[in-house]
Amino acid sequence: MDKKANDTFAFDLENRLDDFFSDALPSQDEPPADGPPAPKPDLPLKDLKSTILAIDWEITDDVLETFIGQLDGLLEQFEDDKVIHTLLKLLKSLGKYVRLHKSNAHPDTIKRVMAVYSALEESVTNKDMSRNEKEKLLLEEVRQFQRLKAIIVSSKTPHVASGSQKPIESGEMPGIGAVISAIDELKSMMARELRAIREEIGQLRKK
Amino acid sequence: MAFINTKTKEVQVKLVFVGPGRGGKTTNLEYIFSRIRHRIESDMVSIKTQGDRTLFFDFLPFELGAIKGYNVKTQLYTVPGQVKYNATRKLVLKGVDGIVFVADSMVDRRENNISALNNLTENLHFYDIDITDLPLVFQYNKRDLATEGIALLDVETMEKDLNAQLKAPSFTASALKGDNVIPTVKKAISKTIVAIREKLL
Repeated sequence: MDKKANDTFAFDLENRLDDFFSDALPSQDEPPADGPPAPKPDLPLKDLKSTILAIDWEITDDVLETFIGQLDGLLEQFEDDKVIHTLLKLLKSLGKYVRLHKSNAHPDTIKRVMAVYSALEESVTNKDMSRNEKEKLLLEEVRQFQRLKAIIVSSKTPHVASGSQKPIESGEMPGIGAVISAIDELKSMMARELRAIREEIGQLRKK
Repeated sequence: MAFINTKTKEVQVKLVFVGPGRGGKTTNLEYIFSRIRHRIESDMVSIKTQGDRTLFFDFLPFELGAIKGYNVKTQLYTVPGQVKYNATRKLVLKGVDGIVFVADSMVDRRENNISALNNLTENLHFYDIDITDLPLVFQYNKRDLATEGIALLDVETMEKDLNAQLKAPSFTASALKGDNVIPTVKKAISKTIVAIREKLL
């Protein structure tokens, strides 16, 4: 059995058990707290994390729908934070790509989902992180996203105008504009895929 | 063997708390129930005699939630500890996936612990299950009694009596106070689910 799969499974299982039992009410033996109860820590990414772990295990339509739905909610919640908003957009693009291609998606895509999620979690939960550090984190994720996108585009569709793809040189820091353009390109790639699938279905019907 | 429905993505896991009579099996379940009752839809079912002894079994079902896309449903059972109810004990063990052995730490219950473990081994044999193949966690219960001046077996003795060959994870605990009850059940669930997964792959 794959050790990595085992590790992720054990990790997911421990997380699930911790979540299930840690949310428990205080036992009757514990002294009652003075004053009003402390507010529950804000865990905006908790559901998303569990969905991402499920994607790592098995890619299904239901899980991906949940994933994209959760991202839509978070995009709304974090619309004023450009770094987090962009990281969420990256995740959504990756999620949409996986939803379209499922097991045929590029094998590095899930790794990228995990990496972008880690950056997102760090940005959301680490209160000591400066704005500058967050932006650096984002730019690295954007760079990696574009690298993956370039690999996917070059390996899949010979009719793609690869010239339109601006190569990323080392040291170059793509900005938000680059992310938006990357997302647009991914969208158009998906549209092409859909057209191709429709054509194939049409031909099968004719037969 | 766990019930696994690949169509509905559901896994049903059966864990049984066994051990000598008056050892604290039901108290374990009652504590677990008190800690999770606000988040589960089900109730704990307990069938007791007038003297508050478990007559048939206690049953606590709950949904653990999704693990890797599978909805894990867990069922916790206890068996009656009294020697005379062996038929019930045997019946409750049918289809068991994991065991929590609740041993009584009091010195005068030493033999009862050993007998209960032997009885478990025999009952599992009835279902062609070797105890060494089954996920098992020991709990050395009633450690709180030391503060009341009651003589307790030391952990080394209990390990030697019960766990020398099995080498299963073990916890000292006080089910009455809730000490180490949750870690025990977490370990048992975790060991059981990992074992089920390994069997499937």
